[in-house]
Amino acid sequence: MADDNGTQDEQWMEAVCRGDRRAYRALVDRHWKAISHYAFRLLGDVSEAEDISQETFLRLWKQAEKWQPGKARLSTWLHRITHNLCIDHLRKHSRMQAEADPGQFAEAETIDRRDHEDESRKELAGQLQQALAALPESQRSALMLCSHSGFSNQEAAAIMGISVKALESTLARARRNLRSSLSTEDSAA
Amino acid sequence: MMTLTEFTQLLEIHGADSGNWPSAQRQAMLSLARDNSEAGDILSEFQRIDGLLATMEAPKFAGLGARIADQNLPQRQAGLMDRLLNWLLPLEAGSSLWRPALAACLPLFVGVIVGNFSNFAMDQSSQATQYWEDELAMISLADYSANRVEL
Repeated sequence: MADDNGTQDEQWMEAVCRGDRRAYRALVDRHWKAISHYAFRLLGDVSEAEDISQETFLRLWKQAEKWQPGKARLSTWLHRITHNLCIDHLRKHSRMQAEADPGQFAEAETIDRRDHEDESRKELAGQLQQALAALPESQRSALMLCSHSGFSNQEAAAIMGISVKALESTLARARRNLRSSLSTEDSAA
Repeated sequence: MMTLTEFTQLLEIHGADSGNWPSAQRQAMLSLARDNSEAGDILSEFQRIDGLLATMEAPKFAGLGARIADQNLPQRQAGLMDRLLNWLLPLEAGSSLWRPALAACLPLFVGVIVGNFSNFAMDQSSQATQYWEDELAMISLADYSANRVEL
């Protein structure tokens, strides 16, 4: 299935290189949710995440020739573009490495809460949102890529532009912090 | 024998899915989680966190997919170099390896063609041709009589 998707992505990207807008729409349809969710988790703001997602696909259209199918999956390449755009955005707004304000994630939290049926699970999801929001962006990014989006450590390292060793160290710190935050909240409750 | 600290460190790096654990340590980790209740609890805790992360939902981006799909896209225009390359070496499927190699050879071909049809403003008659003409003249004027052997 992944290979089928990869082959289909490759064909659509070749079509995009020839200026085929239908192929572009098909690629958007397949990837926009993952991209916008990743941008949201890094930025913590829905409207900023939407802008970054639009910019990511604009880059796909303009720079389709730069993607090398043998080197990375299209989703990896798109996440890399999104990651770089988010980092630039955070730097521009001096939010780099600062721990995000958990309140920024409130909108998603309420939506998540609405969607969840099980009460205890809702509570856990809320705690997770808070704990995740309190992590530095690099740790949040590493966790999102590996634990949510299903990228391998190698792919996540390529997306973040760091070595696998550095990614593993970041991931370890992220899981340690998350575990500690969640257990603290559990004991407080 | 794997310690609890090592076990926890590996879980922090690779998560709770045993499929992502390093193959060299997988068996030891599984055994420890099975035989040691504390290790089992730690693994359950990581499984809970990973489960929550995996099922974490995104906000509802109302109409975002359609907006991205319908956004104004510029006319795709390749750069001058790309257009020249596309004209000289059309991009075919499977040519990803040959294309850069052929592109790298282009200056060589251009050099051969230019070298073949241009004398780079050097007057041939005053250089190489003149030299050969002088040589021939010298040979023809040489006095060979000095070496004649008297019989």
